[in-house]
Amino acid sequence: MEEWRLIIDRPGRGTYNMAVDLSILNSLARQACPPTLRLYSWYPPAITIGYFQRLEEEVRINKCRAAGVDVIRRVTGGGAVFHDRELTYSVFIPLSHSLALPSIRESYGLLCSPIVECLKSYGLNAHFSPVNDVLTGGAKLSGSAQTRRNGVLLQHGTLLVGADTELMFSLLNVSKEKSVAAAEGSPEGRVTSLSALLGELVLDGEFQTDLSMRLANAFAEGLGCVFVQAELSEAERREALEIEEGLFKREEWNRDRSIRPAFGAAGD
Amino acid sequence: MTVQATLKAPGEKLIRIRLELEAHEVREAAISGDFFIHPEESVSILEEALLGRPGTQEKLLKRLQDTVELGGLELVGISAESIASCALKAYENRKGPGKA
Repeated sequence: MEEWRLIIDRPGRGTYNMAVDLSILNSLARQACPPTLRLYSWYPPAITIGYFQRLEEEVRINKCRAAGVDVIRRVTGGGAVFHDRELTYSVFIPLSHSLALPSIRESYGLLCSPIVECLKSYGLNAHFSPVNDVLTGGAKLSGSAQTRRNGVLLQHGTLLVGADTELMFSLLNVSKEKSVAAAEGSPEGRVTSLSALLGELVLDGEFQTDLSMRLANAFAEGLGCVFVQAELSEAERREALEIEEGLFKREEWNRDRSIRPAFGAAGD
Repeated sequence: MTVQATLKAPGEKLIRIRLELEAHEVREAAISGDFFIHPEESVSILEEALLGRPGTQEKLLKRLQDTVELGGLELVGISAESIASCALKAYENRKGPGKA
């Protein structure tokens, strides 16, 4: 079986978390690492917005500043996410690999299936809901976003563990259209979390580790690989810090994407 | 004059389009929302396809479809149809209370 790398990161700040995803993408583009699954979380909490979103439409920036919550534009499309108590994954696969399905829609289905299996292992009745969500009981528990760059597929997404929904809704603008959809019973706009579904189990200090292991196992099984746990390489860490300063901490990127991410700069 | 419109087509994501108009011509266009366009940077060529006079829904749609095809774009959670409808809705707002 093919050996992939598994990285389990400590909780990180938002700008750094997004920079690490890009540095691993670049590293894989240079063939400096094997296909990789990274599991991580966020401290302090942060908001990411989708590549195509307008920051001022999605968040209440003054409230975010007051709460010390950074707002970061992702390199992937999709919606705004308040990252607080959650498990986040990112998976990196060369586009030449058979698991990087040519169709993006099908690819979401394949790469979200380990999330579904992981949730089923807790007895939850979860299912994939195209394009990019995993639902349980009609509410969203996990959302993902994918990009393809420089010969590499990156998909990252979240599994909601707990949610301070009051804080979340005070920081995010929820569109009228989504509120209407939610009121009409559509899952859009309706979210749930593992703590709401599993109760006390989630309070256990070991829960995040248990969840990480189950998710990694589900990926290994679903993708037919074995994971070898490793750290980021020194080169990847260095590049992540550069990307964090040069992109994700810059207003020009987060506000209006007037600068572009350097994809695989070192390899081109 | 700046006009805008929002559209949420069934089964698709939310689209917002802002148009900068001058003498009934679109001088600038911005498409935003929680959809996916691959490759991401090519949203700018879709925005360029909205410049000038929009014409009929049919003509605008054809222009957008050609852009998608020629550029080899993959649209997920958004379609040439919904971009065309949303852009026309924004354009129509120049006459009424929808002005931004």
